[in-house]
Amino acid sequence: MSFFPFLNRSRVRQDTFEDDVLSHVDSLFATALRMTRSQADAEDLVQDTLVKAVRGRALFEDGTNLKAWLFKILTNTFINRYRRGSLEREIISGADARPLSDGWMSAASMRQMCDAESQAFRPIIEKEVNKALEQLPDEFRIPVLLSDVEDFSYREISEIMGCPIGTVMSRLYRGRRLLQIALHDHALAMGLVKGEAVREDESNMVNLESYRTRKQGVGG
Amino acid sequence: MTHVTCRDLARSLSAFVDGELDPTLALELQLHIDGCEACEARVKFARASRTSVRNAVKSTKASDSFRLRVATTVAQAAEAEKHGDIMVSSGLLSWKIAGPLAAAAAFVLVWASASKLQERNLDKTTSSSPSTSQASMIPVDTLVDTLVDQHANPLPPETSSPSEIAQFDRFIGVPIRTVPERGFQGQGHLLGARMVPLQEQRAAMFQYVMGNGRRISMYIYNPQKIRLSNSPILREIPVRNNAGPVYVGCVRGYSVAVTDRRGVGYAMASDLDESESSRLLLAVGDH
Ligand SMILES: [Zn+2]
Repeated sequence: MSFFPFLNRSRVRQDTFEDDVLSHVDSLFATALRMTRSQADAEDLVQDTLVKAVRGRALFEDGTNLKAWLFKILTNTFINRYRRGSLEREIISGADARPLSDGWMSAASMRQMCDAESQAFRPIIEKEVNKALEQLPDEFRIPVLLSDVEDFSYREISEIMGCPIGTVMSRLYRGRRLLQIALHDHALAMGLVKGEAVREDESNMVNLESYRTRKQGVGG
Repeated sequence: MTHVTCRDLARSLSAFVDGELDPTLALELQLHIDGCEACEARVKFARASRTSVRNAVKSTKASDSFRLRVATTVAQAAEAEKHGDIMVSSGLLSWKIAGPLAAAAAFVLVWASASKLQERNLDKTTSSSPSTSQASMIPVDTLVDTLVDQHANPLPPETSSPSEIAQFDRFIGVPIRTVPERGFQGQGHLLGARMVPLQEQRAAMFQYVMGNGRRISMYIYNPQKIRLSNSPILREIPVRNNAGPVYVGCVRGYSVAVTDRRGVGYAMASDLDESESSRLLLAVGDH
């Protein structure tokens, strides 16, 4: 049995590699569906990703994070197919033009939102989250998905997306803010929150903050 | 210990919730949150939103029919890979217009003769073409850095289909020349290609594997957008035939070479050492 331990080991590794790869189908599909917004496209994207991974197995470094590698292939395949290899040219408009400071919502509203999210409204919120995600530009949606859903670290996200950690942070910041604005608007419309005015100390804090944010050019 | 304010928290909220902060700072923020209702609400809301996104997305599952289909496809791909069929069945070896491969071969040839020239200490410097607008140009070091990065941490290629690769032309702005196949005398396989962003530009990246398992990654790009002169990491080597100079160097352990030929930019990073590349070049020169 152990005359050829090396051969045995590589054989075992090969057999489990496909299984390991296939164990990530649900995660990859859930993300692919939010990227492409279409079931058929998402299935194509995932299948492509897995076939590329198996064919390119020699390029995968044993002992490193397989899931991160698969998401890197998925993200790159998506960007290549739908964005011709670049995320940099999306035109930002609409909701993002609104102030992104921290005081757009009162502490009371935030508490009401938390209650809404944790209670009977969860199915409604879920539907709304999906809608809000769909409206996010790709460059914000992708890091939000990678962080919130898959728990990748900032370093892993920067490697998956091929951009610096600072860019990951500012995209996450803006992406989440856009999501929160959309959810808050919806909760207001549904009467889940009352939409109290932001207290003065809160808004003071925020004006300073937004001023500094603008000055430092955060959020590129 | 500095005094933490609501502003400090607002600025670090995302990273705090993601657990990406330095532990000391995280602890200081936590102390502030414990004594500040507004910030407590902020953190709770940020966490709740994160959980909502997670729940909404995680509730999606792939269908059973898709799961079955993809398992079959993956098994087939793995099987083909094991028997080495993939190279033939997907046309990688029988590719009729392996232009970039031929271009790579020609390029390596230039590269090698450049090394020889350098050994003989020929110091005839060719003046590089006068640069027009230096602004908005990408320094060659940036290009090399990206290339070496992608060579060192490779992804499987995006496509190996000639017709898809042919369409790269109009995005990178220079022709990917179509030349009859036969490069590296069967020693090298083209795995495929992908498009990569280079700041405002795009380049096509080709990945090759040699018989000995060593890899070559090559960019093809529009050379008018790259500033070649004055690189601190590459040295310029004049070349005897009418082609422009070749710039070579070693970056993070990989051999790098950059040149322009007939209006097309080529940059190459490889695992090859000098003797391997000369062996390769002899083979290329043979036919
Ligand atoms: Zn506070």
